Amino acid sequence: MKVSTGIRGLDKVLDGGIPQGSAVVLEGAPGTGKTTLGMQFLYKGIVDHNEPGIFFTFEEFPDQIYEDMKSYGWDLKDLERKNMLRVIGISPDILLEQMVANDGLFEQLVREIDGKRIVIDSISLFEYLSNEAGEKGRSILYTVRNIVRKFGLTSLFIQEDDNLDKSKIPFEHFIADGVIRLSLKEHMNIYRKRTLEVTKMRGTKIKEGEHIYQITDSGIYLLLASQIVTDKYISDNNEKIKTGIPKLDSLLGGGMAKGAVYMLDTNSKANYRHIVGAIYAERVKAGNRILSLLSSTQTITELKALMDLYGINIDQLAKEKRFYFIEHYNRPFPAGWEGSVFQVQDMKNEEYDLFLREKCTSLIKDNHEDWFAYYDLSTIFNERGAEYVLRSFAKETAFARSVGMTVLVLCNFKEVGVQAASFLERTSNGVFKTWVDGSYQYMQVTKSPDGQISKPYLLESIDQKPYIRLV
Amino acid sequence: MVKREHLSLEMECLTLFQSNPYLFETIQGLEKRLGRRMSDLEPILEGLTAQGILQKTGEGALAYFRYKEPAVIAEFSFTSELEPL
Repeated sequence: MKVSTGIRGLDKVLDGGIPQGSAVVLEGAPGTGKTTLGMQFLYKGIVDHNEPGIFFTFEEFPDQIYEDMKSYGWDLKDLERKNMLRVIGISPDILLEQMVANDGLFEQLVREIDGKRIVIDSISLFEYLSNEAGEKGRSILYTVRNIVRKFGLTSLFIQEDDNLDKSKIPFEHFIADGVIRLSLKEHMNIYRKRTLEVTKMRGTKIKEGEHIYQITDSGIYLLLASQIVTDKYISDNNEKIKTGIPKLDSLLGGGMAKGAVYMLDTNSKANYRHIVGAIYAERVKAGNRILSLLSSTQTITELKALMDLYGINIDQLAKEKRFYFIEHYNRPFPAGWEGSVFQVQDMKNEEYDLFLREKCTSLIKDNHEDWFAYYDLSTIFNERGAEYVLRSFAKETAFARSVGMTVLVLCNFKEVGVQAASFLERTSNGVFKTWVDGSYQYMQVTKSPDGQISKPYLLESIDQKPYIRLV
Repeated sequence: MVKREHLSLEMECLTLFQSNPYLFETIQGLEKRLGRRMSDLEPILEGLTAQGILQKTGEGALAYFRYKEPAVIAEFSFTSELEPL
């Protein structure tokens, strides 16, 4: 079971919250907001989840904390009167002694309010309890962690970041179930940005990276990294269509948004065939009708072989008129496919435009089913020119969205130039990027309708469908 | 310590504990928190404990003091005392 931290963004980083009963180190330099975060964890736990909490402070006066927290609108004294909160001023040696004592003060306090959460501010002072720092300090913290675990308390142990020796991993990190680090960093030479990073958390997935947070009038607000502004009108449409690549679906919050236009940006070395193959196969299995614009490098024979790998009988689909092709090259196609292949190689741009507007539009509108379209934009660049692409792409994507057709467009952004790439990226709702660097191929979601972007993943070849895996 | 100084330090201790009802502190800790000498604080804390204002727990260096909330009647039902009309 997860315990909400009281900070929505942090809960998302922790995939729901801190696992119940965990002891988590919260470290940071002075002024990073450790005490505020700790108190927010307790305050929201009480107000939103009816979970009483105890804050132990070794150096601050509790009345100073009552005063400071008023600026966030948190009336701590009121919560103390309601027996939901205790702000305890105590010395570390007394706390330790009372924690180990049978029916000591610690046990009494937890029992008195039925405490579920605690914060200790700060565990750095435990080190001074012994002249032999190190082993003794480690042993004290180990004892404290075991005691809070015994009571089933979800705990935050605040730790001062002394910046002394960054090359060594502090022993607190080994003992704790989790580590949350707050930092202040210089930003654009003028500003300082506050960042939060979860470097360890047992029992939950974490969103890696440094996430920016702000200390606002109502406490700490955290904005997730790898997130840009949401394309709300598309992301609110909950219907997601699977790509056939489980990890990619998970990065996209369940799959591609239905009716959205996605760009697959690939460099010349990258092998994108299995990405396209997996998506095609998944869409066919879902019963979509497919419209595919063949490229100079992808013949019908080659596509047929690729689909065979995924157990899709493209021949049958073409004959049943569930798989349509736009062919820009004079190449043979199997018998019986006549009604499914549109040969456009002799069409001038105006005629091609008319073909799309009339033939394709009526085909899609007349078949009231879900459609999926794939096309290689490089072919249009080569055959019809950059000017045509820049003029028509926005119209084509607008049409696709209007009929709820999901589109995957293959393009090499480097090849088409910065200006065209920027236009295409802006016009698309989502962008996947795959490239080869050294001996490895990578894939990354760099734009999506719901604002999520991912870190780069390695693409690994596997023996089973979909033959690729994001690692 | 003269009587006036004693009274002033007593007020300091009282204010500290009243403002921080959940402060649990040793004489050594109070010396740091108040910036006063232990030898001056000791008789005052013992005196406040004897009067029932503070509560002392434990012995020796780890004995700690805390504020004892005065017992007050928080609620009183007047209506039950009234004769029916």
